[in-house]
Amino acid sequence: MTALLSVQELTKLFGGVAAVDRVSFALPKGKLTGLIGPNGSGKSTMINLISGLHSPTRGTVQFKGQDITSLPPHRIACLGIARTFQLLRLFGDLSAFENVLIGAHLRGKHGFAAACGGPLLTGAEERRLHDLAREALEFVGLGPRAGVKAKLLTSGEGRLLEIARAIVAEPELVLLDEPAAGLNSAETGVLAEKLLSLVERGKTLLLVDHHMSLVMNVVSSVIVLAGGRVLTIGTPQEVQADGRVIESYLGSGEIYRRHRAKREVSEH
Amino acid sequence: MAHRNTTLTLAAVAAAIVIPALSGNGYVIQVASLAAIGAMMAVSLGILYGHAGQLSFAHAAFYGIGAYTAVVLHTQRGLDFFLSLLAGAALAGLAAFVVGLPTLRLRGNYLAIATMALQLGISEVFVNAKITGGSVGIFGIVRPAVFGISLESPAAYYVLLALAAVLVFALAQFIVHSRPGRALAAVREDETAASVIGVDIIRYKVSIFTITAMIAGLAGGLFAYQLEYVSPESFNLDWSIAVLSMVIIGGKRSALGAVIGAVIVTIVTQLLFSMGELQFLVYGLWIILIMLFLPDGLVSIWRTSYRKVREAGS
Repeated sequence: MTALLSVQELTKLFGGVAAVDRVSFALPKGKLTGLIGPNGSGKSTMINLISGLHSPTRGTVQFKGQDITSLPPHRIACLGIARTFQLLRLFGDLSAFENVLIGAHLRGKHGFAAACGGPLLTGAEERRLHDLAREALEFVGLGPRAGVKAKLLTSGEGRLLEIARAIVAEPELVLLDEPAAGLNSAETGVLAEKLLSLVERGKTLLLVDHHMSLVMNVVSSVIVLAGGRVLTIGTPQEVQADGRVIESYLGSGEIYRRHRAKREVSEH
Repeated sequence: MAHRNTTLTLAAVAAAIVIPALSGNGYVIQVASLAAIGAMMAVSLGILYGHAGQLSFAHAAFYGIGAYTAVVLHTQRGLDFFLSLLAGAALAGLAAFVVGLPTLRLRGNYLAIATMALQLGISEVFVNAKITGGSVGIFGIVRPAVFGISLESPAAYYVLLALAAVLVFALAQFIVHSRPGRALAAVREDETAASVIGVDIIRYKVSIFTITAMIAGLAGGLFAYQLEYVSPESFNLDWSIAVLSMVIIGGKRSALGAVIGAVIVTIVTQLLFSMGELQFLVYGLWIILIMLFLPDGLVSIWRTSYRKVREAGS
């Protein structure tokens, strides 16, 4: 099993408080890994550190054997890491299609000089990028909504559009920050299906989620964070049986409730 | 449909070039010439402000750099006319690059503040430098002949201005609808989201600031030979703000809107000229009204009614 991305002793202090504290893990190539933990456990900070939006206080991030610690976000994107945002960051005034077309930025080459040549010079590349954008939009099922401004989409559609925009440039690794937040169960089902089909296409995914319904059904392994540290790493079954995980979730009550519900079902 | 639109557009452009040129009326040619120059400026600032979301108050300074450079090189040193215009554009671009590189690394409206300072500083240089002729300026500018055609008559020179405006308009459209143009829209909408998609935001912001300053420099060079005289008051903050008002009045997200704004502001400025300082009050008032009631500018009226007509038709 080769690691596509590995994180070593990663630490991020905000005003002296460690949001992420000496975290180490590796993401196996071609797998879907879950990153879970209660609110404030450092999940989003991890994603921000890997994608370059924060630079770590200590520690390193390696991608395909290359040190990418503290590279600016666009350089990290160039190497093949894409991400979505927990709080949607769509280009609100632009259509769904344009959002995805901009996402395909790294698949094009033309700069301002070529642009000044007009369609004669840029036509072929433009057609290629438009095709890519159309495919990605159809993949997430938003084909019929292509012309709608992003700010007018439902939150479920917005989540799917974030994913389309992240995958259109064919990144190797996609970091998904709570893609199921605010989705109903039918929408979550559709999302799970899309994620599995991305893995089938050879993508490596890191799925952040704090309610576990989605994670436990689709991932091959789970990293559990608590208080900025790695609590445990294991298969979904191992993690769900781990007493410490249950305990760390007691504050939010999520696993505890699931745990109790299961027990009640088996007792009847 | 698309075919008919193209034909209509070409016809409108041809009419805008030919009718003033053949009018034989000096005043009409003068106003049309100033409108064509204003259109280049407004289209340039429209891309920077409306499309890329970066506000510059130094467009008049870049315009002035282009004007003085062209005049010094062509009229005083005898360099080829077009090369002198290009040198003026290049120098304006260089000034923007030098100011933009440190400023555009910062997020927020620092460019507006830095360009305001640049504009005031450059205005001082224009007034005090020896090469610009100080507050008196430079007289004795004669319109050139290019490719054996004399541009000495205002009508002939207007044709050159109008063609330059069409070229600038086309470039603006090409840039906006290209890969780098989309990257700029992304920067305007959300810099963080743009950066994780792979857009090098600083590079794109500095590039578009430099390119639009070059367009302003070109317009300035052309202006010097329209007026046949350059002096500092043509290149001060008032002109930067007038261009900004063209963009806002016409529509900041549309090159066509910028042109409409340029034509209207140019004509109204001529009409209000006798009012002196009071014209700025009128300026301020209608900018406020437009921002309140037509945030997408006058061009949005046309768009809305066009859509209504189409919907009624279908």
